[in-house]
Amino acid sequence: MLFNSVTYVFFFLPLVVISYWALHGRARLGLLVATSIIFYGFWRIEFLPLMFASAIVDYFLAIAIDKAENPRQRKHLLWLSLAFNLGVLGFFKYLIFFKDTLWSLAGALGYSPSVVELNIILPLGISFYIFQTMSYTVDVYRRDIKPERNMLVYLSFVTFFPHLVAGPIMRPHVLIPQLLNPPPFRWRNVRIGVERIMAGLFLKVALADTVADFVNMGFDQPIANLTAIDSWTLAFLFGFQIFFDFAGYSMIAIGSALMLSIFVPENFNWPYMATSPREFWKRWHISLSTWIRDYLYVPIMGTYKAQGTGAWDTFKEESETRSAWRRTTALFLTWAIMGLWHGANWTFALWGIYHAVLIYAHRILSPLFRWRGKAMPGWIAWGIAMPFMMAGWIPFRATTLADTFTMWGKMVMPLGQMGRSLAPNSYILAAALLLGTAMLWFAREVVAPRLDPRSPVLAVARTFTFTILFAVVFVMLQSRSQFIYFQF
Amino acid sequence: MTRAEDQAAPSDGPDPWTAYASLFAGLALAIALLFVAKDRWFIRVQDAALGGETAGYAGAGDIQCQGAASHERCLSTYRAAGSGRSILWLGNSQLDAVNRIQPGDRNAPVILHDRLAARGRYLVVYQMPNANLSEHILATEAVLPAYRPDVVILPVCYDDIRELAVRDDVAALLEQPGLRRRLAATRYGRQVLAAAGVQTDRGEAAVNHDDPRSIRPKVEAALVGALEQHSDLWKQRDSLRGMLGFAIHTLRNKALGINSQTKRAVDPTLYRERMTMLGDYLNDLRARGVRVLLYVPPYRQNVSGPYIEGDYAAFKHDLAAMATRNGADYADLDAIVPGPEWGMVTDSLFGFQEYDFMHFTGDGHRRLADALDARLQAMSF
Repeated sequence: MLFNSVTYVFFFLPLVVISYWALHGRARLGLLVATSIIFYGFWRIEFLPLMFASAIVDYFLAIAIDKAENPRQRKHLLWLSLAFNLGVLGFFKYLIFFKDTLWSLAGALGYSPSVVELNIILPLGISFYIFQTMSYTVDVYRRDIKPERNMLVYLSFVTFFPHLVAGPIMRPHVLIPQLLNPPPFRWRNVRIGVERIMAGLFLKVALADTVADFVNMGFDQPIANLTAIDSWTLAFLFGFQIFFDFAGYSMIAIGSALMLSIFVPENFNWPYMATSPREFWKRWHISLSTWIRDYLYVPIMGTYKAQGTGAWDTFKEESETRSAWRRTTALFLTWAIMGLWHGANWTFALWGIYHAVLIYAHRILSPLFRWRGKAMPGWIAWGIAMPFMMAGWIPFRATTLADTFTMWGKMVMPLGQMGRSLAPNSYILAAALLLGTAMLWFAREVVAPRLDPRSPVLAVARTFTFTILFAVVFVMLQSRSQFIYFQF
Repeated sequence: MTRAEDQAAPSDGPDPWTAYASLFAGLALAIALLFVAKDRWFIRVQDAALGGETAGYAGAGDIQCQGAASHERCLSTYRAAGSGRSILWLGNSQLDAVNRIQPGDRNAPVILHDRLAARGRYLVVYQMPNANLSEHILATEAVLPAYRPDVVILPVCYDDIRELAVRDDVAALLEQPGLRRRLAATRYGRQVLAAAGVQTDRGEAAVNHDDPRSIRPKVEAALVGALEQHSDLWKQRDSLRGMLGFAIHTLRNKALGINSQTKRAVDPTLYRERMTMLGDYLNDLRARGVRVLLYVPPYRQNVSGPYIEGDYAAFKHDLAAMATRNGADYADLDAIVPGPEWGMVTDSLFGFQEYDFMHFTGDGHRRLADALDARLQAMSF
């Protein structure tokens, strides 16, 4: 089911919220699992068993890991869980990619293997629910959490519909306690939930889908025709499209859960106001970047030692003692894998490595560039970081590595590339979005906190905002496209 | 020792009543706004695009098609008429929209269709507002096998030469058997395919949301249908959407001081590429024995328009030379419609009034039909 559908907004969610608060105890959990099945089954019913198989295997393996005292046995069980999860992910998401890569390699070496056509459908949300169950088993192995023995609670955790298909990825220690001891009903949560859902729908149906038309038109024309200005414009436009799309999705997920008084952590925090690549990743897709840090970067660094204290805390204490070579290797390897997690294409790997390069370069260069003996002022750092962040979206959106490098080439060598071939509104839209984002950030983060929460100015501004949100969402609500992250 | 994912949940502190008041007031005002928009500001989407004066259409749906949606209907009409010798005319909204329409006014395709019918030829028209060269080529290639026209009448509108993208309704014509393969075999065809987004599109989700095995589209369509049955406001959402788009368009124009007379340059690189593409296509049509009548469409002469005069003159010169090089017939029709037969783009919603450089009156349509008829007769059709 799509969040941006009439089915979800007017029927499914209101029915779930009313039913949830009408029920008590375990019946609520039963309702959550049942409605999550309906939510997922709306796409394709036949892929439900795969999701449940993945969840149930980890349920039993986690209990076995917890029971086992022998460290070798515990490790073997963990490897079994990882092999199963990564095997499922590898088959559905990467088999065609690996086959194509091998065949290309063979062709380059002069072999011509016979044509093999693979027709594998990527199950919706597989990357997210696999990561969710994998981290659950790892947390149990690390003795950060105890395994959940109640199957209904466990399945509610894995299948919880607001975050099932595209996150935010929720850790067991955040969600399971809320399922076991649900907070009481609060009108405040319902109100904030409605506000978040309206804001998320606005981002998706009014902004993301509109920007998408211009992005698609731009990328659909021959890349060789694009100029430097076109390439920069498309980078900015796609940067805004994916932000509106994914932040909109996350807001609807957070709002939907909040109406059940279940707290889902924020996934975005003004990412395009970041002043460095590192800060960007603390503001963008926060649930994934912290997951990757805790379950990939830290193990690659080899810094996780103390069980039961949480990987990140250990990492903070140990990271400074690691060799520069090890830190750099971990950085690049982590980012390459993170890139490939997004999609089975070398362009995604390049996207990941690009960000590793940016973080590495910032790590090396930032101490060298000072402003009057101090750290660079935020607005200058933002002015430098922003274009680099946006340029990073080119491989994410381009279809091939060749297209990516062609566009990047034009962006860094703009001489003779100053013409314009996109629809004229593309340039206006990109400029308006950049200006609008900066103004909104200023209003929300600088002006609003200085106002009394009960001030009439704030009340009028909120009323005006909600009038626009309700009216525009009503007019624009239609399932024109899925959320971009559904494909991951 | 705070993890990012452990951020605090919304606090349970006092919840000001103003927060609820704002939310409910916003909802109430939004509903009121939508009803006012529906009842007082209502404009047809096409009127918004063309302007209030050009709100008339000489309906000739069976010979004037817009894309895949109407293709089968036009083809049926042609077959019902005996599938005789045909002439194919491509175009944009200039062909069907009539400014200050009067009872009895007919548009140029209808007039020309009747005259050609009297000479034993069948005229069929494929047009799309702001149609560009890619869309013309795609539409022509899609329908050529069905109509096997003796002549293709192809206007080249200077203002549309900058655009390349193919809209969905025209791209849907790619489903015609063998069309993709034919287009992929030529350089211009590959450009058209790329413009139609035939390559894998990273912007769309991998999972097709119209997957026939999914129940989602069926349930969604049923629920939307039910809402349309029971709510007039919901039923008017298309028009409200068009009104919103029109308001944004107007706001942009006001903010940037853009009007219909604002000069719009065409990028020289793009211009060369598009003209090369057109030349390739004309050459290919000639090789296949299809005659082409290339024409410069009527353009308002009595007031300064959006074209840069020197560039526009060079364009007409280039077009004439290209026609000669590729064995096409050529007609410069830009001055055939006198000033009084053009109108204004007017709008009652925002109250603006600008010169229209694309659409003319019923008399203007007659002049266009006359001019093309004369050229076709000179070509022995």
